Amino acid sequence: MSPRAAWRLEALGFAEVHDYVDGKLDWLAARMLSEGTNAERPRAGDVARADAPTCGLEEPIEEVRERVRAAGWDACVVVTDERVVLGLLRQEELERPEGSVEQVMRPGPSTFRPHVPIEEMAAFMTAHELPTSPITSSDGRLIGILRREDAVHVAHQQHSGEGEEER
Amino acid sequence: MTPIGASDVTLVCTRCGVAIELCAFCERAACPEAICARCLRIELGESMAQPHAHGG
Repeated sequence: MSPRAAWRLEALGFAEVHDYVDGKLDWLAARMLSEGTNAERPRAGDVARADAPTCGLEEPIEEVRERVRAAGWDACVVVTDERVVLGLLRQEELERPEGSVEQVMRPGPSTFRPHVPIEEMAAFMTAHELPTSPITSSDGRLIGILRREDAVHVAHQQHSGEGEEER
Repeated sequence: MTPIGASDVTLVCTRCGVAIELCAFCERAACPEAICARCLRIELGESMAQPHAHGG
C-alpha cells in the first residue's frame, strides 16, 4: 500500500501497519497472501514447472543438450548459483554443434511474473506460437518454465469451470 | 543517406504503433502480433497504465 494509506490505517487505530515499499504488484509477484474475487484464479507461477532444466554459463552446449533432451525438454534456462536468470536456450540454441552455453545462449530473455493470470499467458503464448516462457520473481530468480500446453490446459479447465458455475 | 548504425526498422507495436526491433513477448523480428515492452507490461498487469493524462 502507499505510505499515505499506511498512515491512514494507523490513524484509524490499527496497531501494526507496515508499508510494503515495493508495491502491490511486487507483493503479488512474490506470491504473498491475497484475497478477493481474483485471488483463487490460477496464475503463471502456479502452473510453471519448477523442475525445468537449468545450466550454468561455462557448461559445454553438447552436455547441456544431452541432459535437457534426456529430461524431455526442449528449453533450458541459464542461471547463476542464486537461480538468477542470465539467458535462455531454446531448441535453436540447443542444436548448436559446439561452444559454451555463454557463447550460444539468448542473453537477457523476456521473462514473466508469476502473478500473470494463466488465461492471459495461454492466449499470448498461442498467438505468438511460443512453446515455453520463463517465469521469474521480481528480483530475477527463476520460479520455473511455463509450457504452452500446460497453460492452455489449465486456462481451458478454468474456463470450463466458470461455465459450469454460471449454469 | 542513411546515418551510421541506423537499422531498417519495419516492425511496429500492434497496440500503440511505436517502432520496435523485436516483439517483447516472443523476441522475434517477424512477429505478426508484435507488442512493445510497455504495452506488454500493461497487458500482463506488470505495470499500470498512466491513470491521468497530466501525470497524477
